[in-house]
Amino acid sequence: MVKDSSPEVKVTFLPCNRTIKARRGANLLDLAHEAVIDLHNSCDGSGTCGKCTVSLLEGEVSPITREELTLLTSAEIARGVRLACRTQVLGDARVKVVCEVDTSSLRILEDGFCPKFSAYRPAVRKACVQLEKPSLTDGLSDAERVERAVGAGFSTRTALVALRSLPGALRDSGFNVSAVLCGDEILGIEAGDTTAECYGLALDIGTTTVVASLIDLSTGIEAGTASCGNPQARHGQDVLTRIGHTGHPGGLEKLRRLIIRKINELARAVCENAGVSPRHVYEVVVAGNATMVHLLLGVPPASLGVSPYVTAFRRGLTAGAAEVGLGISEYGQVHVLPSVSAYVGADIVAGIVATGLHESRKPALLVDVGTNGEIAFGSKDGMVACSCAAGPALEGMNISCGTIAVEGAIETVSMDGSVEFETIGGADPIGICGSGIIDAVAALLNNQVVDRSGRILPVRRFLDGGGNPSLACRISERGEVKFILAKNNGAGQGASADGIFVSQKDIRQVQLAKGAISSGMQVLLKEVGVSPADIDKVYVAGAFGQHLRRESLVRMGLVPQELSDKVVFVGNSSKTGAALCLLSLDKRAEAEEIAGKIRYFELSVYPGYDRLFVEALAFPA
Amino acid sequence: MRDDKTILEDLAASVISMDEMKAVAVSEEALERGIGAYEAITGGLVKGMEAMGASFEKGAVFVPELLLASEALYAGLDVLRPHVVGRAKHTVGKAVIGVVEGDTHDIGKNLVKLMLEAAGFEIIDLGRDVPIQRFLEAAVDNGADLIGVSTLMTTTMRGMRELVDLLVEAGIRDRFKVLVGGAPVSRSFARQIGADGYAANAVAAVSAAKELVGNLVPGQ
Repeated sequence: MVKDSSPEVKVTFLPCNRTIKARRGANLLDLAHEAVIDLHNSCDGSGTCGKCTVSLLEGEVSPITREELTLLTSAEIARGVRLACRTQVLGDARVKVVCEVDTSSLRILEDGFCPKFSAYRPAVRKACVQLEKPSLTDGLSDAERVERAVGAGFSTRTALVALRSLPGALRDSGFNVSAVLCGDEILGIEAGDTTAECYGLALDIGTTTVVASLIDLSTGIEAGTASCGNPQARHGQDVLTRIGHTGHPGGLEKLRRLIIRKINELARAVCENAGVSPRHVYEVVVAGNATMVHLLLGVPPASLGVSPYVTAFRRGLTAGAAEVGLGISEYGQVHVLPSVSAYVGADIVAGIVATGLHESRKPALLVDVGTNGEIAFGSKDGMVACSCAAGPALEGMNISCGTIAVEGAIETVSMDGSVEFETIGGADPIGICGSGIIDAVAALLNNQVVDRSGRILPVRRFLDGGGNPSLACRISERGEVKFILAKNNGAGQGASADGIFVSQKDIRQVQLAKGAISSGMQVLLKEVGVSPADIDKVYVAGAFGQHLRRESLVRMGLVPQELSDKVVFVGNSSKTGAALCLLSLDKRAEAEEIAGKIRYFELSVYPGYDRLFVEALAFPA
Repeated sequence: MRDDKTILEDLAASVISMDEMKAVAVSEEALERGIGAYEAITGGLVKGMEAMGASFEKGAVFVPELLLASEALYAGLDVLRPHVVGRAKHTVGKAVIGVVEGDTHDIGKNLVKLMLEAAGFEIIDLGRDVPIQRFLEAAVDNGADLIGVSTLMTTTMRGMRELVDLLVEAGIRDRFKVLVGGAPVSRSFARQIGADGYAANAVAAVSAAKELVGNLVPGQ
């Protein structure tokens, strides 16, 4: 019998039933990426996060590795579960994806806080002109004829592209054309009167999610919005891991292409839904953190990842859409909003524009409750900002049963006697997301299951102190101490023999995140010389803005008690700010001024920060 | 009059209950009782710190409690240390520690330093954003037994690999034990780069450091 030793094998991925051909010995995570399957991959395949789980149904693969023995439970190992990043295929195989991220159901904050807006002056507009036909006497070129009639010159950036279609446009339309204008420059000429079709895109590129808003530039009205997961997550969940990926050959280009392709897909989708052609979209204004913006433009971001954490650029930047790779009008342009520093980016600047913090008479706070925990504070008299190394606990990651905000994620929790929770989409619980973990910790504190220091009380002590027995029975002390929220129903990521729970370690992760943000806030207040009582507004932005409960934020100590009624959830303030800048050159100029004026504080080297951080770890009484 | 065993247990208890005043009072009592200062430190205060460390690893106490416990321990040490005599003066080991080049986050490293000193190590703290070459120089100049390197960021982990390679290149790899740690670091990473040990937190760092350094012959 001849042994099959061909170099090629077939790998089938389930449940999507995609089969691809692979080289014998190929890495399973790489193959999943090739098959366009999104596995959880926080650590970019370095074998440390344990999230890229797959179940081997059939076939031969490399032997289990030490990392897998450490990161997987014995139950999982017995079931044939492996980590894709640590597994090579040695023969034909059928693999079931256990951890696929169904980003189609990602709960994304598309809506932003929308303030009153009157200074409407978009960068891009159109004007229709009827030109005199050429004659033997005037001797003017097509370009000069247009420039004189419109009263503006061709932009050097798009001149070549514009000229190539100019002669045809003029003659096809009987010299009745529409000029696409930006400021006092002509970007391009279109045949006939197309002034009714003038659109722009406000884009928020988040580390985890991307949101696009299609806006009619002649009316300022939003024509549609679309969102999706950031495909760069395939190469790391956080910005540092992605920056690290650019250190591999071709890594930067790969990440750039991923985001560009996804943006173009989003643009096509949002245009199609609105009955608009992408050719009639002339400007994209981009907000995002500094790393996202560098990757979008293909600018090496390595310097952001090491002290002294400098960006390659930070001022607002305009480039041709074609050059950047965006599939909008060939005359189109991309304007990237300015950043303050490597860790306070264009998204925060956009958020300041949206909330009007820079114009407020009384001091206001803008907090982005996420992995980078950016905080901006101030008023028209000056602004300061910092970024807190909060870690992803408040977004539901680094938590035992944590997940991003997809269907089935527990997003609210209450414990009035019994434990009740709501999941996204009302689906069976598969895990707990950011707003859920914040609610859970607040509820545990309120019911004295967890004390101020963050400790889950031993059952005996809890009961002796008058604790509710129906809560006591949820405290599991077998092995790791945990509080069970939902019993095991056999489904999805995060479920185990204990179901969905919050462990002692999870509480510690939440404390670290809360300590980071809280101490960051204290530093800014100290620098401006303001006490919490003087603060007029606390704008809370983040990946789950509207689903957060202010009482939980206060109970946890993320927001001081006295500021409870000053909290305003602003949702996706980054997108709102981008839209405002799309519609107003004045807002764009304000963004530039804000970025230039803000004083950034690097907390890791701030004197006395150690002490503030440690003191902020405890929960309020 | 309380017996020696009770006093030693009470010293440990003062650390566990994070009670500075008690630590001072019982340390003085120990001296009055004629209990050797070295024994009071290692059999009393440090035992208490070890118990705190175990509680920390279980998650029952957290960083603030660890720091308060260490404050109690140092209060007791202030009373007892001047009275330590002879060979008992020698340390468990000498370590050079710092945050790797390119990283400025040092809260974790500061906690490790505190815990190692409490356990009897002599620490040369190089601070943060430490050039790789500097780790090597300081280890050589100070005759260290151990080099401890920490980082909070994935982007700077490669500095740990560079340090090991540099030691090999210089032909002095065998002279020092290399211990690495920090949020993005893992045991398998430590293995991959050829480090001698890995610690997941400041408490684990103490047991890892002790194990790596082994038993030093007093009198060296």
